[in-house]
Amino acid sequence: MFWTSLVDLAHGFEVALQPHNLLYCFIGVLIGNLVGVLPGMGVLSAVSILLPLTFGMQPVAAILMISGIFYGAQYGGAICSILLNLPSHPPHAVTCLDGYPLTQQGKGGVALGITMMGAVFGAAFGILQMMFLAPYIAKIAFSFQAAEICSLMLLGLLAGSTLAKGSPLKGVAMTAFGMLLGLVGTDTATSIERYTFGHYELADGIELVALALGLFGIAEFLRSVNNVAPVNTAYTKLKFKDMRPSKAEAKEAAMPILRGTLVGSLCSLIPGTGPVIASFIAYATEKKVSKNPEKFGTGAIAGVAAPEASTHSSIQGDFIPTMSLGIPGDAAMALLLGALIIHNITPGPRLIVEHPDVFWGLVASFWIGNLILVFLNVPMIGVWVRLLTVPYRYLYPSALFFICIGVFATRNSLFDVGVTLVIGVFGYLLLLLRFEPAPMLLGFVLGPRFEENFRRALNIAHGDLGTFVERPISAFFLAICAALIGLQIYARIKKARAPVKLASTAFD
Amino acid sequence: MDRRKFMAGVATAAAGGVLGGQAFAADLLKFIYPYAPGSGGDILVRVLADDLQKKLGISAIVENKPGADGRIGVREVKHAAPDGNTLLFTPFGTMVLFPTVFKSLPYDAFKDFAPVTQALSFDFGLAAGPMSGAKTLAELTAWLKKNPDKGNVGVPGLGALPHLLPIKYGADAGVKIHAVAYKGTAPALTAAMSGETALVCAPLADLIAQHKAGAIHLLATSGKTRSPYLPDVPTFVDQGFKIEGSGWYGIFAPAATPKDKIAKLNKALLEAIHSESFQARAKSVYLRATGTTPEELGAIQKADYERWKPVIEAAGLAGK
Repeated sequence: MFWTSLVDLAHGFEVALQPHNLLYCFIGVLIGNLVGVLPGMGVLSAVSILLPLTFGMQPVAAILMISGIFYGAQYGGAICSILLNLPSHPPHAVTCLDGYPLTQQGKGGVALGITMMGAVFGAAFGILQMMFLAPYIAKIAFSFQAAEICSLMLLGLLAGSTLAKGSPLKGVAMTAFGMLLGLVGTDTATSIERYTFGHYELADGIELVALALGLFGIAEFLRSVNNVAPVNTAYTKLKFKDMRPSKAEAKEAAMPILRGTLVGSLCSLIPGTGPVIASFIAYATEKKVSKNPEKFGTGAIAGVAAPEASTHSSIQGDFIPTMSLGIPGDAAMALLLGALIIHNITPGPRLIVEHPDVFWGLVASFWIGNLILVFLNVPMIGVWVRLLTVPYRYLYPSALFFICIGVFATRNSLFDVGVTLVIGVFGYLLLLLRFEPAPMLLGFVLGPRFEENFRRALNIAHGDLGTFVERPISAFFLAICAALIGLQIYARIKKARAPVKLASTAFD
Repeated sequence: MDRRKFMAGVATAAAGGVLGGQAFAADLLKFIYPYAPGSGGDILVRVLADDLQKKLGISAIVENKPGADGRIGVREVKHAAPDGNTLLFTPFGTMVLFPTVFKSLPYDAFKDFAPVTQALSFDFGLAAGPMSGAKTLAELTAWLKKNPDKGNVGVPGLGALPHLLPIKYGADAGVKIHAVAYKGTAPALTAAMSGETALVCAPLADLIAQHKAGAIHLLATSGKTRSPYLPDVPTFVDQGFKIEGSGWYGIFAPAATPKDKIAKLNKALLEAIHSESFQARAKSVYLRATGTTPEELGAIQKADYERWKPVIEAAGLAGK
């Protein structure tokens, strides 16, 4: 099994290294990288515009290019999150939490360097997993049904509601509020529209891109108006050497990257659980296992490393169900499948056997493409960091402009631009009141998935709540949930027995 | 300063690339597809636009206007200038089923639009996953009589044909069928393959690869005759059920578009639809390229509306 995979991979490299395939792989990752840097500019719109160009191309070249756009975009995604607190793509929203504080401390270059390390490791793991484990992983995915996904989302919500720094009560409140926002739109189980107030534009819910850009990007901009600290240019004139993470920082990032990668790969096996959820769970996990969780949110290296690694491993993992089952995990993957079909390649469980050149050529191109991306991005880090020397009066309005274009392009909807602005103002109020936006985004992402699967599981089990504990995987997740809550209570009781001075800090 | 200019240039160029498809020009044919890129007929309308451009020299682009199950995109075309430059490319649901399914719509499917031509038609399929192991409808009926609580069918959305067909089968065969809604075909298909549900009903095109690989088994197709792509799979009618219904993609213009403009569009579109290359593309995604006159499409729309209205009402899915 192992050796045949390697022989196949060698064949894949033969395919991927053919000059025209190599060229299209390069074009793909380059476009992807550019799209990734621009706030809100979706992969989906970029691919759909370019799709007709691929009709005349050879199928393998077309697939390599489209895939390149998809994973290339993730490389650019973290840049604005870290430097401007502006999550260009939702998976990178959580990177803002520690990435932006690092920039404020003059360590933006280091954070970008750490991001690159996480990206490469996460992607490499994802590709290896696709090479050797694709058929098995597809089978594991089958054991995650509605009840399991529901319990897992519950665990994610419990673990994640302590995501933010500061008051835990406010964190939980924000998570709950995010879940409420997630209720807006058409209910899958009954097709009834909730809280749309007659706006058809809200029938599909609030757009995630609009929420992320509003809460982080616009809110931060509003806060900075007339309130900008003089730009500290000292750290923008760096040599390449200074941008490299120091040995100690690299060491600090190593374990979070490994854990983040594993979380990302786990999330990619669970149907419909993409990189956004993966990055949040990776961050929450990191905070839970960390020896000094209070550092999170103030510029912890782990808070950048783990979610970025998980995003990249999850993105690569997303290709597994698409390629090995012929079932697309999201809209971008559906477009990729469509491109395959147009070239008379039927995606499905037999794709790997019937079209080894496509599958292995793609795997080989992942290696090549990721390598190209590293060469494209590492030298650019210095250029990106200098972006900060652009005076705010130019930088912020242009960023706002790109936010508007990006949000508009997501669904070709002007309404969504308005939604972003309203959420931005709301996010600003939250900032003033010291409410953290991150748990709200978490609730918004996980809440609807929890509800949808909860009701689906009950629907299938004809209303029997026992289904959640009868199924072993689901029961396992619920047990961890119970343990988490138990631990919190235990910690509280222990604290209560300690001197009163300590107890009062629990209510801060 | 130079670097800044360079960066701004890069950014604008990329933005232009993405938005270039939506530039406005005097004689630019714009197809509005009311769903997200990559879904259903999206690929085919892009092929069609590409063909019009290459073969007939008509500049044509596709704009996705997703949202509210297609209602936003359809409404957009209703309000578009009736100069024949903006067309709606839509699956039949918005024009045939929605008037019954939704209590209020932002458009009138009959009064606000002028039919141009039907572009493609397709069948639906009902398939069994490994849970029941059924290979025919008769086997399924027998299994469901023994396991009355297991008749869960995954459907990609409520109120559409993949929801109506299995319900009608259940009623006619005297077995209990329980629809479980998923967000689209992909998760519904996964559910049947993994044994979460016993059945899945979806557009046939989305089920063929998994059927051929043996992951699911197609029990019946919904057309009047068997699908040319799966001559071995019998229809519902073949197996003694009075269940029949095909889906289609149609092209519509705003109602006030001049008649001669529509006739001209119809001619150009038919030429593209009947071309060998388009037929071949349609085949590769398991659809049938059809092409009709505007009057024929109008008649099909009306007939299908009248045919599904009572079924939707009987199933209790009509808008309240």
